[in-house]
Amino acid sequence: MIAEKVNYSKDVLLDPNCPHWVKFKGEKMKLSATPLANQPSEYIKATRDEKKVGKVKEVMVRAAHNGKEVFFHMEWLDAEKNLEITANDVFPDGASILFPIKPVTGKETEPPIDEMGKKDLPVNAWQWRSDLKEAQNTWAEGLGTTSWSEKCSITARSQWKDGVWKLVFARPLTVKENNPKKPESVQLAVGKTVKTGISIWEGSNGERAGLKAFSKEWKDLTLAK
Amino acid sequence: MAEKAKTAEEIAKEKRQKELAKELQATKERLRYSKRQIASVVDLNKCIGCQTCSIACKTLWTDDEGRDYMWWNTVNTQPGSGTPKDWEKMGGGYKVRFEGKVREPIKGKLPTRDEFGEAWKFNYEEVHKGSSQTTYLKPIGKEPEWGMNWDEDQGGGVFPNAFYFYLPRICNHCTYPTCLDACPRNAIYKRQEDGIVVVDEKRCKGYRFCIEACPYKKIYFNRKDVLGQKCIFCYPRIEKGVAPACARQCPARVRWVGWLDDVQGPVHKLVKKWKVALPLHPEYGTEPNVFYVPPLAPPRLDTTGKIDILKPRIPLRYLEYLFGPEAGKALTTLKAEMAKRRNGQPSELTEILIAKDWKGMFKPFDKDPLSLTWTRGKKG
Amino acid sequence: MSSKGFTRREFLRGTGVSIAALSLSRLTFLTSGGRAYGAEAGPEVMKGYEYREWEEIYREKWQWDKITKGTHLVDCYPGSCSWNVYAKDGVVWREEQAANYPVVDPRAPDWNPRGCQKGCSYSNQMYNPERLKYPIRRVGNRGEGKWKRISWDEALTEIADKALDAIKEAGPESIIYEPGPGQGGYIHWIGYHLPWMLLGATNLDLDATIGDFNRGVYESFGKFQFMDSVDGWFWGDLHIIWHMNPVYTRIPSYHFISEARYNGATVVTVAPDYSPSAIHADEWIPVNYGSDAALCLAVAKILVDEKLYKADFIKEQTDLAFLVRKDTKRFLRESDLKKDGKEDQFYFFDAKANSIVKAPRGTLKLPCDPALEGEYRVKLGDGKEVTVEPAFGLLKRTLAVYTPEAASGMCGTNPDTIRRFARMIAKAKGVQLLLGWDACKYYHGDLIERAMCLVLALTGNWGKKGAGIRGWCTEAMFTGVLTAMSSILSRQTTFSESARFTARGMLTLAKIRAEDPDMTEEVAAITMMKRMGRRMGWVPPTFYWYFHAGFKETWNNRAWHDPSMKRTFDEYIHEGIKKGWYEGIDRPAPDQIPQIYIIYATSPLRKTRGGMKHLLNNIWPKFKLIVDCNTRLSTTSLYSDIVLPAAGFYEKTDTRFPTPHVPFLTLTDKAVEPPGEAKDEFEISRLLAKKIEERALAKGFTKYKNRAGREYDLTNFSAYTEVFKTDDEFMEEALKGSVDLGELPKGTDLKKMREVGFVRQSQPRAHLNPFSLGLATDTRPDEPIVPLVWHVGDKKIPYPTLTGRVQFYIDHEWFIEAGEELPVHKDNPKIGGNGQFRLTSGHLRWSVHSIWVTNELMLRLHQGRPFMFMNPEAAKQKGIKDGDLVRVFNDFESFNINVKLTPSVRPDQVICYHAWEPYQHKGWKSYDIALPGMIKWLDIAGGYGHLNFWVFNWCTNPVDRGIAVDVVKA
Repeated sequence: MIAEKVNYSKDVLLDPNCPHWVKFKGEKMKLSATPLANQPSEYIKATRDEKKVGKVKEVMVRAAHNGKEVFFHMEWLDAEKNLEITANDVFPDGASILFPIKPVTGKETEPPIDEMGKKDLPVNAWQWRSDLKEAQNTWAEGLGTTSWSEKCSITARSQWKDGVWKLVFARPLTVKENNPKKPESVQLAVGKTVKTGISIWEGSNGERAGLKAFSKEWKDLTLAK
Repeated sequence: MAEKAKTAEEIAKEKRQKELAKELQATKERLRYSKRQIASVVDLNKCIGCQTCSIACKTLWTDDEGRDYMWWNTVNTQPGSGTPKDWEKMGGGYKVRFEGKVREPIKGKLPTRDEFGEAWKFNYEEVHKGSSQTTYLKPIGKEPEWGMNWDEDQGGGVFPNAFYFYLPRICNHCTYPTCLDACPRNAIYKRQEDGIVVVDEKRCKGYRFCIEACPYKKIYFNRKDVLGQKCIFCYPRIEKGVAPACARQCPARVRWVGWLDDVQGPVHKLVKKWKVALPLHPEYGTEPNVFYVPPLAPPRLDTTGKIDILKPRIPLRYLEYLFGPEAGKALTTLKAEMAKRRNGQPSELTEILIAKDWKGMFKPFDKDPLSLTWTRGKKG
Repeated sequence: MSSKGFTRREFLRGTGVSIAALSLSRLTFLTSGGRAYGAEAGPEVMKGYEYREWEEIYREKWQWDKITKGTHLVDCYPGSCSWNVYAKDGVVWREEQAANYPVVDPRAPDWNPRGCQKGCSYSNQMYNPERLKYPIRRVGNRGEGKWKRISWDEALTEIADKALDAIKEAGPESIIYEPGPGQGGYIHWIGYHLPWMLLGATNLDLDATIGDFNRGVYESFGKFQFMDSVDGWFWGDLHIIWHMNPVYTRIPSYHFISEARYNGATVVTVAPDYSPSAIHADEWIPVNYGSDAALCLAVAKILVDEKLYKADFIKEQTDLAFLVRKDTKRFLRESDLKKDGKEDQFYFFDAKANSIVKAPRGTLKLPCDPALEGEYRVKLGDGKEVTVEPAFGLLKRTLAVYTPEAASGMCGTNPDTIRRFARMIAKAKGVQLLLGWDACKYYHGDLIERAMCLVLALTGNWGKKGAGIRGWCTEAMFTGVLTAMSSILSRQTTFSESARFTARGMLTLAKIRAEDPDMTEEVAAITMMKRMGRRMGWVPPTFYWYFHAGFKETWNNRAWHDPSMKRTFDEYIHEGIKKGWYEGIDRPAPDQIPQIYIIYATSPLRKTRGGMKHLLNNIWPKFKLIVDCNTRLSTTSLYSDIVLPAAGFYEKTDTRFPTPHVPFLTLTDKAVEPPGEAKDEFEISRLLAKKIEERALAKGFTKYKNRAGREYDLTNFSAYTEVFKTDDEFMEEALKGSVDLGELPKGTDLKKMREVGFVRQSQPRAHLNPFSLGLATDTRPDEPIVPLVWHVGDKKIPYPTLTGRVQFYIDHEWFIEAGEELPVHKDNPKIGGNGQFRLTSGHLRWSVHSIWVTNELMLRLHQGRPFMFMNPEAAKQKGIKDGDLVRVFNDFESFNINVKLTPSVRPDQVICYHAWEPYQHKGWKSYDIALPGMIKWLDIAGGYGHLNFWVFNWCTNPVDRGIAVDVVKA
């Protein structure tokens, strides 16, 4: 996938309905259920049916950058929006983009995407949830380890209309680390290629935590010069 | 079933999954581990259903928005539907197999807010500025259909052989907490020093698997802060040697608190030595650390209205349903010791249950909070 | 294995390993033997995450700024619980029982911790939305809900002006002052009372308006305000919970019962329903509502027939050996034998000497071994010879009809159960009859209680540890408040004048005793109180209700009385007045129309039986001003003209009036300022007194007389407010007064009270105080308080009855006319009509009177709405389902309520616990409205020894149990 180089401002691109987005060549990403065997809870493993996990099968992803910030536009079908937690059994919709935090130089340095990374191979996820005002910057080193940082440079805007979610993430290409010894964010640069993955949580299907639809493999993303 | 030949990839994957399972097991075992276990005994023969425990807990911990509907401590009339409504039919917990060695999680239901009952707000203003013609005091919004103590004093049986008793419940701080097991974020752990089960409110993301998994339905969902919250066994008090509010504030003196392994302590004696204190629904497989002295009741009346002293009013099978197969034995022990006392003989068991020295019910957590110089900013 | 993923089942199959082995690897939580983990909290995968950091959240939540002592200044029995009140950020955040009571007797359980869910949520009550913060005045019609906030000055000016106008127009008695049980500790209660008392208002007796007068206990003992301390409940080996529901109403004391049971006592609950207090009993004896006298009398018959009674005890302690004339059914008196003979000199028959013997009036010591049975001939002063018989013989014949089988037909209890019960009672070393204020609210409650007392008499069960019956008791320990008040009344400006008052009081007592050398100290103190009460304008509400408030018609409904009432109610009440039984207390007079209603800490529209009908329709239109002083808006507040906001229980310094039940004087302290412009009652009293004085002077109306000719002068009306300028000053003086009287230990002062929160009384005996003397016991530091010991023990002091003995034979002419000279059973009259159900009641678990009843937290602890218990079978026949709204009605009124179905209730009974606010019901009609508020005509008997009204005593008691109703789906 290519993140096109553009001159639009952040305000323009953050609008999920911004007409420029359709001009970019996106990529339809296939999503699959997260494997039950990898769920970090015996309870979840024992009580869920993998066939019913990962309701969203496909997401259209487009990317762009303006030299300072990078933008992702995601679009997927969802007949039932779940915005607020109005009842105990209501779960919000959600989406995230995943990146290895450390540069990937080969198979050994590639964090396992289906295990949310592992020790010394951390992953960074930009997360959006329909019930929360702000996006979150999270990082993990394996199943069940996801943490989030207090500070977050990610912005997200979303819209649900006629059965379609549209979501835009924006972030500066580089961000300051809270803890330089233990980086929590991916650092991007123009012309560079990084690995990326996508997750979608369909709230009406009871999806939360590791119960989600995800791109089973890393995709390359190049920030066009 | 015949096996197909596996590809190398499949074999690797299977191997990795086994590794992950083992890792998970080790993680959970670590979170579940505690050096000592704090425990509580509740005497249902002394409980009068006054809910002072519920209020004591409420004003201390759950009086704010988001928590306002929660009752970490509940008291319900048994038999009854309880809190949340029909919680005993909601599943969760473990199927225990292979001589108690294997605990297999059972799917549980996520109770609804209506099943718990809302924190009703009332139309005071409307009443104060209205008249008998226009209004009366009632909850604002939807007419409630259930609450924490909705079926109070209703019970079971047929007049004159009705029966009921009160059952206070808090989180059982189980030895095998299904909630801990269920949490995909490893946000639930037993405190190593006392075995109190807590939800780390910084890690919790409000996914609610724990609420599903807990067979006692003692975890509440905080909609405002998107958190699972529950009884913390008043750990800030425990740390200072002060018994939990529900126990220390119980005017009927029904609750003992102490180390389960303290052989001199009343908790150990009631649970392990005299075996009159039993876990609630032991078949749920979580090994609760709150134990109950099952209730006695006046005998039944026969068809002429005569007292039939041989017929117990509460069917034993009901008590066995609640407290397991040991219920009958516990009652026999209790009755025998009470009979001894009636005949003027001493009994260690009744002496413990009388609890002449109230503070002794909580040893070593018998400190008076007034003795702490703990005002804000000055921790002592 | 499919790479598409797998379900749990597929996983189990797919590995091809046995399920057991698989489960061990995949689902296991092996109870591993040697766990050897270090002290670190986090699991391996979570290394680097600080687990314990978050725990600080709750540690911080538990912290507080300030702790003060607190208690709840409400008429709760026994109450007086000591709390620590935690304040944080200027508000009271929570309270926790102080639980620092010392060990009284190490062989018994200690008192900790005293409190209940209501006390535990007063912090919430303080900030409940119904809390009053500013004086408000009605701007629409009464009850229309239109209010305006006004200043204190505006409020007090209007009150003062209208009070003065009322006095001018109709005399001071036309101001009706009704205090209640809901608010005010001792000193603030007195505070608000003072201006009204000093103006000469009609002061309605608090006990009589509430209806907690144990009529039968009083008729028997000549008093009902004696009680043990609750730790005494631990002792004794048979506890009979009878017309009491301690599981609801004695929350902090109940443990003494459950612990007594573990200590070998047998607990029996007698009740129509399988009551909450039956569930922890060893036996439950069901009885038809209100027919307990039949059960009791059958028990008495068995005791007598099987010679299981204690003859010595009844000869000495009761009147059963006194001789009764067969011709008149009256006791043989000295006045029968000689001219100018005493009306209260009674006789025994000494079989040995074959002659009658004077029963000593000054002692219970027997002059001979009196006969209990037999008929004897006595020659009267006029030469006539009559047959006399000891009352016991009459009793035996009265009991003849109460065979267990016959009684079973009256009360529904199985005859074998009655026999078993009687033998249990006979066998018990000590019988604790735990009687509340339920029996006394039945029409024939006096008969029930008299029969209970009889059973205890026959078995010698009072005046010793582990035995007895109990009534209601107040003010037995803090006489210092009264002596301090006397300083106020005599307007002394220096402290310690109370000691002088005490000396004066003792002189008065001595004078009274000089009138009759055989008079006991107790009777002298009662006499003094009786005279004082009349001066204070303290009256039973009976005449106000009858002549002014619309009860006349109801009380004259013959169909709702017992058929043994021979004449009309009106005839009885007028006969009583004519005979002078109520002289000085039958006010306001029928022609003295009440003008002003001053309501303090109570809600007459709720509390008064049928109040929303009787009062609202009849007396409300007559009042020119209705003022309510309260902390919260009650239904009565909403029908008032001016509502004054009072300080709450943690917003002033005071003590709750103490009782021997909980023999600790308990302090509440000011933790925070009252909200808004709310003020404590003493402050309100001060402002009001100044305003009255100012307005009286301005109007030139300072002098007037009441109907009894007593003169009032308002020129210097507010002088009393100068005596004690602060609560602390009043409290210090009151404590000192009680220390001087020996009621409180030396060294007790406010500082010490603030430190400890309470002080245990050293001796409840204070010569001036009939309530203290009525206990008739010495207090020991290491024992529960056991009342009546001075009667039963060595002192042999007579009881304050007409006969000086515990009196089972009442030869008052009306009692003889009614056939109630001895306790008998009579069926419940059909109050309200011929409804299929009988409505019974009792205190709700969720309120003390109506305080807390609309507290949001309390409401969330039940269904948040009033409810009525009903039997499922009975409901089914009516097509009523659990939770349904039903209409409950009788010939008097109706109300709507939701039902809760429970098999614990009899099929012909419905239970509606009180005290719901009327405004919790549609149309503001609560269960109280369907209670006609009948009183038994014998309640107004008088002119007979102890059957004479004095403060809290020998009151008429409104009936609210066993009312006939029908129930239909609303």
